[in-house]
Amino acid sequence: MILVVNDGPEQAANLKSLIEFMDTPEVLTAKPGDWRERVGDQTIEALFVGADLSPTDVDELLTDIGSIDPNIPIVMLTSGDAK
Amino acid sequence: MNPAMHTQHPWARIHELRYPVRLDELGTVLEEIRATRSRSGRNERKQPEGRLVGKSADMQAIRKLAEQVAPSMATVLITGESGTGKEVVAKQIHELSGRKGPFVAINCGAIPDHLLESELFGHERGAFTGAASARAGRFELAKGGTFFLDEIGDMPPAMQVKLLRVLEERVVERVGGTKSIPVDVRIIAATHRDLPARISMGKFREDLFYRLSVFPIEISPLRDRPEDVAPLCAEFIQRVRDEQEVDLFLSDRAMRRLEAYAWPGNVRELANLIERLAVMKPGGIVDETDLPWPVVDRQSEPDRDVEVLSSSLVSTSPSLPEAGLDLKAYLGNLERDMIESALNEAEGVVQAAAEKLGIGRTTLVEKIRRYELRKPQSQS
Repeated sequence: MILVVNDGPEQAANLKSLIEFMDTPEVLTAKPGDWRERVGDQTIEALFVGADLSPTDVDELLTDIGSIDPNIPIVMLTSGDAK
Repeated sequence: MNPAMHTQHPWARIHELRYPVRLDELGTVLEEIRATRSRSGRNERKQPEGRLVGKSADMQAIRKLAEQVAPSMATVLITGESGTGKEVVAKQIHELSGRKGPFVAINCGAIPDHLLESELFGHERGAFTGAASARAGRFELAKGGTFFLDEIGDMPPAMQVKLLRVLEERVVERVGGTKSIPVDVRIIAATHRDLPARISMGKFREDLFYRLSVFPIEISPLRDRPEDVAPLCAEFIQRVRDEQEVDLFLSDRAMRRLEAYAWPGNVRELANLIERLAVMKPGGIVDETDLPWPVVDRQSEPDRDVEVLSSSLVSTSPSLPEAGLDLKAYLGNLERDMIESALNEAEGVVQAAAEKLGIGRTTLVEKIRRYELRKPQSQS
């Protein structure tokens, strides 16, 4: 399952549709505070991190994911003007 | 992307994708992810982290203990020197337990005291400055799985009390929270410290010790089970083959040296050595002369000092005085001069001087003491 953690529900929904369009059907969206509860016992194949998350939220999220499985690939979304 | 992210999370395999997301870029990232997962999955199966390697009676006993305790919920306390593979044993127990939740680990000695509580139990929003949102602690993250508390002997006393409560009541309370959250977690703790000694020093709670050591497992140091060195080498060489696609062979003499070495860093030191040899001799045969100090410690070669002195004597072609000489005193003086020269050349760095002389550091320190030599600069 691919996990998309994003504060903005619209951006998360858009990204979910795009990933599903790419033949990756199992996508779960969540906010920084509730992802663990939503994931439950499911295995995370990859984590997409939204651009609107605060650095603290990103840091905590990556720390938590790393403590579960440091091999989980992480995709950081950046805003369009990012260099 | 924040460049500090890689520094803070060096383990992370981070890809980047820019808004607005383009389908072709997303496709490339998803392909990379699949390829990475497939490669790591292939490697994980072959890596020794997930299994206990060794044919010694000790390792066979540990494998049996892991199998016996895995299906239960008993708290396990794993003890052993640093680098013996305590986390490997913990992971093995988790794998065999059939628990569906994750294996979550924390190093109690590596997290500052003031952050440890929040890491373990989580916090509510606004619990302290910087707690912008609520966060689950590691206990909650390990829900349905195993929580591995490494270096438990270094846990601060205040946290020991809170951990004891979790073990007794199976509930956690987030920092700044009032709600008790039930945790379905299997606890495995580990330490390289002598916990009974720490109890007598007042640094570790006796009641916590008994709570943790329901099922104790002790891993012996590698020097006490030299028969495990060869199978471990085979595993690490296989890992090098898989990851770096280079081959490596160990001669019989090299293997004998490895088996004779004391391995103060235990299995971790052996793994690092094999990795280093793969870089130094890719595809080649490693002989004992390729092994670095201190694996080939000249202290274990009793004739070495004599050999060096002999060659020096031959090269300077000394002649025997007519009146004869006190050979012991002569050799002693020669040795003293050589050590003094080596120390001068090495600018007082004992390790470097020992390498120049082809003897072990400890041996050199003893000789410096015996000859009452003074280092030119006290750097080591």
